[in-house]
Amino acid sequence: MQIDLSGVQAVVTDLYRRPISRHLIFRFPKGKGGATFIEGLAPRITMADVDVDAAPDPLVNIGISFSGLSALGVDPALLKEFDSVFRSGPDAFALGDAPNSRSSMANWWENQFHTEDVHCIVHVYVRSVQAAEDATQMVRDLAGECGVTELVPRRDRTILEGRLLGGGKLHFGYTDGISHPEICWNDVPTSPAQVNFRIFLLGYSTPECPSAPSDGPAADLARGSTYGVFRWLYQDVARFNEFLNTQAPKLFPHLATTDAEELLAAKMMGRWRDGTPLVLSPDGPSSELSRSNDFGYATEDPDGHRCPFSAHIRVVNPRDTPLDAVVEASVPVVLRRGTPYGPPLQGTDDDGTDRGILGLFLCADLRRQFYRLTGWVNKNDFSPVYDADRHAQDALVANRSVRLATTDFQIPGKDGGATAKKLPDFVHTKGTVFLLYPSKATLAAL
Amino acid sequence: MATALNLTAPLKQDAESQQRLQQLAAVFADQVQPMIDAVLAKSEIVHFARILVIDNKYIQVITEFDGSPEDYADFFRRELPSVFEEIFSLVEGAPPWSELQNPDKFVEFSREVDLKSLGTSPGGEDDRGYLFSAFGDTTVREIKKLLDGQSAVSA
Repeated sequence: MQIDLSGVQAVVTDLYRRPISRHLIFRFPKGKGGATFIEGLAPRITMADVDVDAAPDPLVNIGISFSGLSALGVDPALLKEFDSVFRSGPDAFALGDAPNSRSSMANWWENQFHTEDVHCIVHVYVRSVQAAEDATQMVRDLAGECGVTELVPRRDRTILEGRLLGGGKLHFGYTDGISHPEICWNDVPTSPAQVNFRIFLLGYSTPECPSAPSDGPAADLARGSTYGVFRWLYQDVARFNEFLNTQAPKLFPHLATTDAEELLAAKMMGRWRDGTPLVLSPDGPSSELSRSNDFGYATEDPDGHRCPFSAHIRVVNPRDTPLDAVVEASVPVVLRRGTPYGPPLQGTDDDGTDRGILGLFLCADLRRQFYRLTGWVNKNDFSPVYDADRHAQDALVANRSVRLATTDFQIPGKDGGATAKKLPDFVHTKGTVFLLYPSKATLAAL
Repeated sequence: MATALNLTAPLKQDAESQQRLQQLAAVFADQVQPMIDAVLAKSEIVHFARILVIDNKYIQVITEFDGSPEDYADFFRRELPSVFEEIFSLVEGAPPWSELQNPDKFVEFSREVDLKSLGTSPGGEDDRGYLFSAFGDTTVREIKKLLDGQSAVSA
């Protein structure tokens, strides 16, 4: 079998390099307006047969929520065959968005609307501000003609706009875009590293790579589509910098302050900020290794002396780390398509500006892929390497208000290691919606 | 703390299903129990587990375990497919096993027949009802580790 990529949205297959993105949130009206909107937008959706680097602005993609599919009039008998997590919508417990924290769902979308109000998100990716304005206007004009309502998620009535920070950097200063799965789009992988397309595309469920809908008319409808989780995540840069500033000299007193801060930042991520993996280069970044993704932990760093067990990349991709028997043998994989938003901030004084990442996580099984990772982030309990403390958390992105969470960050070392005390929340959730990124055939059927 | 699974499902009442239920009961100790024993021991998350039949009208799978109910149900599906195929084939209204082999369907159906106990969860993070535990939040792995340590000291 060979997947015809002309029918798959390019956001699934490609990493876009456009510096500006906008994420326009809509609610369909009663009646045919939603379907007319989809029909009008469909020819503009960027499919994977397009050369996304060469194509003119804008690149356009769309995700439709379960309530959006219902509003479009999709047969309920078909809809009930879709993934139960997709149908239920975001679950605070599974996401780690503790109700007693700033990530509480009660605070999402700056209280401008509820998650279930979201019927679709249209993403536009462009090279210039003018192109962003033009694309936004094009989508809004179409929405207006169809009676589709735009939902604006901020109190100040601004929309969600991503801006690349340059150099592939994210707000905490780390380099993004290094580790991405290579997908085999047929049944003949050319290397062991290639990942089966069924882990991302719906309608091709097998016992080895199951997804829902698994078969029948619902699977026919969903074929070539992908589930996506859109996450609006605030990053508290001032707090992060302050943490490095105050903790690093205590943890690594033998180093100059700047070097100590860089080492602590690397220990929290598992890579130096230029991307060099700690496992391959524990003493400092190396330009030759900054894009390296070919390493493991089981033999190269079994004690975590180089990369701590709770470092972000070791939690979300434990590679060859032995897993508990109760965990499936394979590490869950999702496609990450995030973009930073908001202006950069240096130093430890918070300017009160909203900044962070607009994350899009794509997969075919929301529970066994996406929720498994959010579970591991908030509770490191999936491998015997965490036996010393199974309530430890991802050092960077976990919610510290999760019940029983350990907020100390263990940094193992030959000399007994060190402990960074009282990790604060560096990230909090401002909104989440589960979406279906429809294939060309699915769009036509809608 | 531990999570409870109170899977409670109505049994088919036709003669053939009832006969298969009796067959299951007859071979349970010798054939089924060792399989369950091995898998649950391997899991290192299950505190207690048992299967009950009430008046040949309901079947219950009652367990206490560490972690999320969804991961636990999926573990059962992967590790004990023949046991759950047999049990669910006796359950009124259960989807056929060909459907339940899909993890999402299995988890969803398990959730449908998982009864909430009375009261509120002491953990508070999930609406699963009351469960008492003398061991607080101590997990099976932690308990086993402590017991192993004690054995070593005694030896």
